[in-house]
Amino acid sequence: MFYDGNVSAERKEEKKQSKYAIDVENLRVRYETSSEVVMAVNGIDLQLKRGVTLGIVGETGAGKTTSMLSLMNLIETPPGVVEADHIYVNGTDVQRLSAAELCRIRGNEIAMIFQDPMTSLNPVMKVGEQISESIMLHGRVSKKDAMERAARMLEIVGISPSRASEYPHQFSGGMRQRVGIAIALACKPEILIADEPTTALDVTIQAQVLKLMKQLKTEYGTSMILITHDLGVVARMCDEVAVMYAGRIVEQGTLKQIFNETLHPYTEGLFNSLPNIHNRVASLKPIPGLMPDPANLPQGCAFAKRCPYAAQACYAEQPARKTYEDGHSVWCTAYRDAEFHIKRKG
Amino acid sequence: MDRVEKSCKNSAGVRQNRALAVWRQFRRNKGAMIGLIITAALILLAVSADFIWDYETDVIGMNIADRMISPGTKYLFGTDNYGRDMLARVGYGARYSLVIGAVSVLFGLFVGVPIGTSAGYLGGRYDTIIMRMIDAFSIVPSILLTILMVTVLGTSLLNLMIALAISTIPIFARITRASVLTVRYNEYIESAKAIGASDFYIITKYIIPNCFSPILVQATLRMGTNIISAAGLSYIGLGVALPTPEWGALLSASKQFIIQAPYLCFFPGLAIMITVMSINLVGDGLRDALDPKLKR
Amino acid sequence: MQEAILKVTNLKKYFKTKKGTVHAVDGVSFSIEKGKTLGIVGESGCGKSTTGRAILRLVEPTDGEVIFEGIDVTKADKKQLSALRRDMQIVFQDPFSSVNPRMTVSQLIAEPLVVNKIYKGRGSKQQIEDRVLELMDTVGLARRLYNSYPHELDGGRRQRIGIARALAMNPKFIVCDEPVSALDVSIQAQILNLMKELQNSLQLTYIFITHNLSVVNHFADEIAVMYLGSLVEKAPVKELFDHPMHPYTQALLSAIPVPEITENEEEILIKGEITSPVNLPEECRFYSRCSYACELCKKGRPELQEVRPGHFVACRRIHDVRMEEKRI
Repeated sequence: MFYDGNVSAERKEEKKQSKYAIDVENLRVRYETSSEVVMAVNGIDLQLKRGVTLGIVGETGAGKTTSMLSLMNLIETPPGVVEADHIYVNGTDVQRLSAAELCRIRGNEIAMIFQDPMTSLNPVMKVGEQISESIMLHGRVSKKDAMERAARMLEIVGISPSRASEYPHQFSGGMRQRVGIAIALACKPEILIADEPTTALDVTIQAQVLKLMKQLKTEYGTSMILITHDLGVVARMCDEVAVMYAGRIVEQGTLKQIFNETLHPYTEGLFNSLPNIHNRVASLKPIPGLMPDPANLPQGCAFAKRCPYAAQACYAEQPARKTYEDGHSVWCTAYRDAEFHIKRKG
Repeated sequence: MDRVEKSCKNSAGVRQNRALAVWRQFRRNKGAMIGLIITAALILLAVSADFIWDYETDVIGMNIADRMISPGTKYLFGTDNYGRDMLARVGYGARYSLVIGAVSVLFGLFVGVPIGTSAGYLGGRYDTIIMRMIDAFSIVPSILLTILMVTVLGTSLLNLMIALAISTIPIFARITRASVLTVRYNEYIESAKAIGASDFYIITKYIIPNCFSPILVQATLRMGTNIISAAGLSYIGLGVALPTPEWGALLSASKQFIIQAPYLCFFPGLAIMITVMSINLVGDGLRDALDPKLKR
Repeated sequence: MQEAILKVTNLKKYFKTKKGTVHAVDGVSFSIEKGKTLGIVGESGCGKSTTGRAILRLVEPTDGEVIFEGIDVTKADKKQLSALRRDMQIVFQDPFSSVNPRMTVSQLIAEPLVVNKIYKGRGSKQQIEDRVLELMDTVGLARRLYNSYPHELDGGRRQRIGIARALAMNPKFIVCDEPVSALDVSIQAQILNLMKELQNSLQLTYIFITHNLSVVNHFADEIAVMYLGSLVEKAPVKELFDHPMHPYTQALLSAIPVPEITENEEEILIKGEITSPVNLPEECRFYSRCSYACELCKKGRPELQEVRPGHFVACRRIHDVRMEEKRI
């Protein structure tokens, strides 16, 4: 490791060896303040296969965003404390990287699209410059070439390149989100993390943006993690799904497994609380109660208090992972009983 | 209904907790705490000045035998050219500075806050007219404005306070209007309208309490500024006249002795500096403690 | 058929800005029967929220009539308006910004009673307290929260406060402005169920404003689709979902992400974004984005026409649209 070239040669070697774009084991994140400790993420394992879109589903406070930010080492410490057995991004252990090395990986190998397209753009910088800036940060490109590429990126996301010299406030919400996507994709990252990319948008615009993301993903072969609370978006976009609750994954599998062969009571509750578009008179079955306070988690299964199937054992111990032959995993104590099944059927 | 009554008592507790949270935040700030302690000491000094010194004999009474004595054990701050104890004069002077600062700011608040509130709440043409007038007022630097008014009204303690207060009004009108505008478009204002609340109710119950913090901070900081202005005006002879021991007037009287008796200038100057600095420290501390973004 | 409790005719709300006149609501007409729910659907900026507020005169309508139980709300004087405010209420979208952060739960719920001086004289304090507790039970707020502050509560509970405030004076009619869009799905279902129960037990009439078509499908009896200040389609809910006719409605319906796996679903993507409602030309509002648009569409705005019983559409090319539908 005497000169730069050697390092990148080594990096390429690492990449080849790694089967997964992202491989995380036992990730835990907590925020420590003077008055309390918020347990945001409590031990998740996550493997993202190359070229696959993984949806992370859960409600506010489930720890979706926190766990993804920790992949890019973007959690502020303090108050955050990030611990994990390992976090491999493209085969590199990001926990061991220096700040400079991290910067090179961010944007180049892994990029992020944020929820709020207004706050994630710099309001006093022209849109074209913002895109070219991220290109120039990650490669020895002249300003002119970078601007040209920025213009091309705008065209790809469906914005006229002539608008590159405009400021973010001159764009509408949907356009801004497209700019965010253009910035994220400008360096052709191998991994893309999209955090609720369409939540702030109207349905027709959402449909446009989702379609665009899908196209670009196929075109570039990007591996993607899509954080969302909208199961409809998941159905349109994802190959695999992980359902999170109170900082843990409770169920993980392929899209078909999660949607049609649901195992976990919480996943079932999520589906039941959605209005059914085909049966308008069917009454909604909400999950009773609230998510537990992450600063004060119960000892056993965090969902037990709201779960219709909860038994004594659920309150006492953390559920262990149970993986079926087809790769479908569930974290639920009830499945120790081979006969157990939930009401919802695919 | 037992349970309700029990929790009713909690209600006061909850509100206390809010003030308590601000206080906790404030207490963490060392500078602010030092400022608060000094300010409190100064207020105590101003209130009890009459018990410590007799105005007629100690403060303005001349004692030619003891004139121009350097600071020492007998006279801690020395004596002036009439043999008056500078400690008594500077100590008594705290009263004037603090009263001038407080009264001018209170008066400015009293007029400026309603102007700013009505302009921000009613908006439209009324807002434009009022704010243009305020702008016209603010074009003249506030110290010039004050000088002008004192010249017109004549020099006296009361006129000095009025002049300072008037030059403070635009500042409070502006800051109030700005914070009213940020509060006004909150959905809870509309929600109050929807249940049939009158404008007066909304302004007094909703708008003003929610704009309170920035106004309080500005008021504190403004007090420091006004004390300096008052001292400055007295220094150039437009404020409180001698022998009243106002700090600016003391400085002015002492300037001719600055070579042979520099202590005569030093102590009033130091008093002004410490007072203004400690008030500003309190103001800064309040700003940090009340800022919701810095909470936690 | 019951008589309409609310009848809105040619409602308009223009805002004057430096850039020109904003046609936020531009000639909207509809009526609602007692005990029914009208869903107003549209994307951000289409004027649906302004319509709701103009009906309650939270914004002053520029033109038009709003007849509520025989009284024209737009011409009501202060006294009439204050009486109307008891019958006509609103539940707001954002439970985080629609309650005063400095008041406790009980103060917030009691406020409508205090402001309108519902209880007078001796014992009024006790009466208010009883009524607040009753309302808290009705909307499912635990009594131990009596003295809590809103910031201590989650979004669902705050929305319950908002509903309790609206219910405090026994209204007949409530405008629900996106009441669940800021909430998580499991909480959303709780609130929707609550509102449905309240409607049944208190015979409430709702206008339900939302951008979420699957929610309104579940909740409303009739749906009005709004685009750039005008209604483009209005029909009973089943009819609208089964036979959407306006090109915009069709695109909107196909854009809903359905939470189930569908093979090869067909999406009708509409190009572009909603135009700004400033200085609009007199042509079909959807003209610039519509795939059926032709010269005819530029000649004035189309009126709502009844194409099937109870089903109104504002589109000149409706026959071509329907022809195409049949071909598919």
